[in-house]
Amino acid sequence: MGDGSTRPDSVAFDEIFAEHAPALLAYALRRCPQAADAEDAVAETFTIAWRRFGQVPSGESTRPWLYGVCRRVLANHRRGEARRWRLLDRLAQREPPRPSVTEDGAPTGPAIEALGRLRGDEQELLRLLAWERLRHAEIATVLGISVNAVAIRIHRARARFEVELQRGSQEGAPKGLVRSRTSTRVTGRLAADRARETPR
Amino acid sequence: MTKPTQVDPLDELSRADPIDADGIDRAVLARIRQRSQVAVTSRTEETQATRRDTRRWPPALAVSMSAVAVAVVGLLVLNGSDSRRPGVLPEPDPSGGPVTALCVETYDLDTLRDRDFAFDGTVQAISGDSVTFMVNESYRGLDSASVTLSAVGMAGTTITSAGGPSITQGQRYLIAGDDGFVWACGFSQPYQPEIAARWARALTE
Repeated sequence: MGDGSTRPDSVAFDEIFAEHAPALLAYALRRCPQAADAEDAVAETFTIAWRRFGQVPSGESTRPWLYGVCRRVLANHRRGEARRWRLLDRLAQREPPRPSVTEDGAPTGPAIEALGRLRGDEQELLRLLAWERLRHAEIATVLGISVNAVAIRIHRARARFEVELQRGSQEGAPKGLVRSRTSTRVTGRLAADRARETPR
Repeated sequence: MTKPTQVDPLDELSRADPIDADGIDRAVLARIRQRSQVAVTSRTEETQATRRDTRRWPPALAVSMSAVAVAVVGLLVLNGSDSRRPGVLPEPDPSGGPVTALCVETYDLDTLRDRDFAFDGTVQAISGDSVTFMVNESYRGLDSASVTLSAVGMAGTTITSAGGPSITQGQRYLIAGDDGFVWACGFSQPYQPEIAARWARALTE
């Protein structure tokens, strides 16, 4: 692992699996409507890790690397699904199903709904920050972009998320009860960022 | 009177996390571990079997089969992506493949014009990702003698992000960005008089 060897010994692989598999399955479950698909993605991710053991970075870099592989496995899976649905669509002249946060008993609520109104790339940045609790440099590894770009995009995404969250609460509340928090927002945001950037 | 508690919207999102990683079923993990092992074993055996079979083929047959394979691949490509067998997808490249979105935007004078601020500045202080610049000349967006900005991935490291300069105290740079962030990827670079002149023309005309 990270030492140029191409095949792991099973002890080393078991250590990686034990340390990272729960987080990786949680990552996949957060992004898959079907639990079975999440299991498939994680199994495929660890198969790739086994086959490319020499490329797996060590230490704190291991998990972001695995997330990055799982992300691409899921993207491949979605492309395959989309292709199958297009074929079925042509045969049956019907619309493919649209994922919904309320289907399959999936959780919903103001934060999830506000997240759902953002662009896909913004959603992913905020999920990695809030759910996987990754630092900017780790998010950069997962997404294959620079840490500078991550910081800028997160800044924009969280601003849009806050607007959407506030819009949702205004739509759900009687007029006149919701006040803007803009004046005190910056301090809280910077403090939260500092906490998230503190090395674990 | 009690002061209202400030809630970070991202904390609200954190609390809405639909999955508890600590509560993952051990039996599911054991199943995944087993499947990974089986997949590796079967693929290894397939590879070895293919190698053994290939070694037994006469050279002329091997050449013919290669030609057929090339023709089939060509037909699949010509027929478009939908002709591929559903479910057969290439293994993703763990390195992330081609880096097409490394930067927020591609740098040129047009995209430079879209930035909130651009200036010629000299580094006065660096603290983590925060860099304080003395502003030698502002091209847009600044009217103070100094400014402190966030230069993530560019300060205090020799390995910089996405072609951004490694920002060093006392050095002079051309700096551009948005929302208090210094942008890398050409939007910020070591000072050069000819590039400064181009920035000045592009941003002040």
